Amino acid sequence: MSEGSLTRITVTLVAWLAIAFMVFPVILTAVVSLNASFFIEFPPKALSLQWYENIGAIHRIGEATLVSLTVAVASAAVACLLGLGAALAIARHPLPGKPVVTAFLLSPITVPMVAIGIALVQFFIAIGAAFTWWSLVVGHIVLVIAYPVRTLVAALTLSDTSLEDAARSLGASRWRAFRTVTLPQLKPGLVSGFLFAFLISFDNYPISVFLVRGDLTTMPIEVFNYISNNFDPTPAAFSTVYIVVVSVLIALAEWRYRIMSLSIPR
Amino acid sequence: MARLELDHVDVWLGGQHILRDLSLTVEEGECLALLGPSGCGKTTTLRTVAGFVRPNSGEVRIGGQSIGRTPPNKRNVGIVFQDYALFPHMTVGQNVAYGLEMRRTPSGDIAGRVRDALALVRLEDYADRYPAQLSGGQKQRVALARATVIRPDILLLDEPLGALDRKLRDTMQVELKQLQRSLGITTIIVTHDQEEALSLSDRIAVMFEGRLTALGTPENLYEGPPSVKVMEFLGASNTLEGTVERDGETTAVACADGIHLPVAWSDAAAGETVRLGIRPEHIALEADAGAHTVPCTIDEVVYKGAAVDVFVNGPASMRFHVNTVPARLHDASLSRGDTVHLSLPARHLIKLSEHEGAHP
Repeated sequence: MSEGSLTRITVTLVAWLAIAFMVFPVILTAVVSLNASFFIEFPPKALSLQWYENIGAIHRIGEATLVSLTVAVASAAVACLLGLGAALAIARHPLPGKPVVTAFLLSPITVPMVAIGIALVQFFIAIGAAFTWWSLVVGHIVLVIAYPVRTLVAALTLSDTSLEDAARSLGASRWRAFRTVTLPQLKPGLVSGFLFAFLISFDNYPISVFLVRGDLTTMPIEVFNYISNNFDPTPAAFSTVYIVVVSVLIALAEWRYRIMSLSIPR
Repeated sequence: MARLELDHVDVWLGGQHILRDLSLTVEEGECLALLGPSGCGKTTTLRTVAGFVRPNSGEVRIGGQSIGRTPPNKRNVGIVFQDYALFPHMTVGQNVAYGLEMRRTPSGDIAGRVRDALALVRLEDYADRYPAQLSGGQKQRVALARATVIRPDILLLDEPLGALDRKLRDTMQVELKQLQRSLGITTIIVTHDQEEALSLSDRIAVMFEGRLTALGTPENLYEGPPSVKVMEFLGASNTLEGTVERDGETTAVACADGIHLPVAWSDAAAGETVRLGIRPEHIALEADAGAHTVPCTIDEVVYKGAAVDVFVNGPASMRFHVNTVPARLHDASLSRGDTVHLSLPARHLIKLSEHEGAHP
């Protein structure tokens, strides 16, 4: 066996191990959720859908999921809108201090979420808006804006500025040229930015935990509370539903808009 | 269709003086090539005419009307971009219709005009395709149809053949010329390719460092360039230095080692040092010495099929590039290392200025 083919086998093996490492917890969750037994055991002795029927037993899970959903949609939408403006400034205009602005907008990815959460709750208390749906949305916008900024800057960098010039020379006003020519080029960037923002917001725990109190609660918080007090695989059933829905969403977006090309740096 | 005038236009971009006192008139229906090396300001000139760049001073007029403050969408200027800039999310038909829709052309007329414009570039069957499904040549023809269907006053072509391969360029060159002539639109072609400029345009404006340095018909500029730079930019050339000698009516230039070359011009005083230029194809290779021939040794022969480039070394480290037909070498049975005699016809010895004048 030559050295080259040995290297290739090693690399292939490592790659497959890495994929298995990533997929295994997902499969395990699904298997556990279908297990008839109360205790988590592997492999399962008998299959059942009882834990799926038990999802309702998670305290206020319906309400909490609805809050998470509305907060995720609202914060992702606003983040996309603000992100579009920021991305246009970053990608298309000679902005002074551009690296600083870019780094600032992307910073929520690197700053510990607990720090962001503490800062946000103090801020909201100071302005008297703490523990409301709105404050949760604003907090999540801070959290997720980096994602649409990033995908939209990528989309704008890939899109051709001469397209907009061409539209202008053909008689389109600045706004019309943007709407009819530039915006359609940004669709993959918007879709992937929205999707990432939505997903990051939807299952965020560390920031939300600072921003909710009393009646206001979110899905990850209630699921986590349930796990703290119960040992049965109901959260696994919930997670499996969640994983399936998200996977379908991402697959659809990828199939329709090729979003991966924008989110994986090249 | 209209006359285009640039009147003492200056443009500064990012602290740099891009266009310097540029004055240029393109006549109604004329096709002018803006030729120059990259960074000479030719693209900025185009963008100024299109309205994407505002001149810091000076005036741009289309059909006598000053358009300095008119935005690009109100100028009625058609542009074919270097990369064509076709809208990827629209079909060929939608691309061509875009300008008409922006002009609120009645939708009943749009279909017919799009069809006619596509027929003119022989793409009538491609209206439903997307740009990604077209070849480079087809994309360019769509871009041409899209820019001309709006019946622009001025048509601007930015390196129109730059992205095409050699063979396609030759066919597109002919097509482009015919299209421009049949539409009769005042046209500016921006190019760094001298061949493109020579073959496509009625007149060539040569630009260096933001200035117009020469202006003339392709033939006039090629055969009688005003300066060394223009001569070298427009094609292969030979330059040599000498001293003017006058003997009554005749003028000659004395180069090294008793070589006296009679010239056809007389606007220089005796004793003046001048620079001469001659195109490689105007030098004749002779097997035998004659009056005013330059004895040389063949250093290199580069066979090109229809033509052959011969590089020869002359006296006083002179070196010439001669372009001739292969039969010429063959008939005289000349090859590398042989001695030849160059004949430099008086009417092809151009007097060149060293520096670039502001105007030709």
